[in-house]
Amino acid sequence: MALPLVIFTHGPSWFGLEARHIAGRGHLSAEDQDVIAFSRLFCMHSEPSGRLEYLRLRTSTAEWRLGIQGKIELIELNADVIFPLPDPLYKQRRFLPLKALGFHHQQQHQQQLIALLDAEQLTQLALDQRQISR
Amino acid sequence: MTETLDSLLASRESQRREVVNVDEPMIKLVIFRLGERCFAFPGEVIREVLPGDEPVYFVPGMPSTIEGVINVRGDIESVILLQRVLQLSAATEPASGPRASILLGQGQQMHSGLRVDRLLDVVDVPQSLVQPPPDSLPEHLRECVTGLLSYQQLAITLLDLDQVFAIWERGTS
Repeated sequence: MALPLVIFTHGPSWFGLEARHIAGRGHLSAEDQDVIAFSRLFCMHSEPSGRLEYLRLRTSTAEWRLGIQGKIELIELNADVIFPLPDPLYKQRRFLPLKALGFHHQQQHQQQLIALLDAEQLTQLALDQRQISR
Repeated sequence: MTETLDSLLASRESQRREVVNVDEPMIKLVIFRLGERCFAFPGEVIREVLPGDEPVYFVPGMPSTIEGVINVRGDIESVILLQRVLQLSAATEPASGPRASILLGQGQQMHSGLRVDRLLDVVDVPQSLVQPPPDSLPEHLRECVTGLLSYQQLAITLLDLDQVFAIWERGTS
């Protein structure tokens, strides 16, 4: 059993969202205003301006655009490399949408950790910060 | 005086019974180094000692006392930087390499890996060697230090794992 994921980078880290919540992807123009940069949600600051792409998220509460300044890939992870966040980490996580961990094989047999996010929680975070409306 | 075999054997038996068991209660300790200081956990709370060069994966969005996670035969365990929890120094980089170790600690409420600079020994020592902690202990260590002992000319500070975990939880919340 495999889970389709859209993964993206933020700094040195990889994050992932279930592909079923991603309704689209595109490039942003300078005029686009209704996009929430991932950096704003993750570390409460804006990334330096640069070329951004967006992922259109569709959840039970809202449809909105998440700005990404990094690589974006579509992958599948087998169930045996996906793990719930260990209890101590779940309790102490600073970023509430962080839900699980996955390991993605990259070149030269290196494994890359993917921080798997709950799209509903990420949407809630954006709503709480009044970055988007329902 | 003439002894009989029976009386000799009876005498021996009574002498044997008079031998008091003087074995001291022993305690197993996992002794390790953090910076310049030596610490120990009771052996029963350390499930396993892993080599320090195990790959540890950084997890974004975690407090600075978390080094990351390790894969232990298919189970994911968190790795806590014990040195930072105990506020021993402002170490920036976690120790790694063949001399460093990760202790898998099993507390009553939680379990986690604990990064230490170097595993020194796993030994049984007489419980009587453990002295109560001194009053001069720094405030932040008082609640997790259960005793002190001298072992091979090293001053060892004995830690309570559950209290260490409690300090970690408090410090990160």
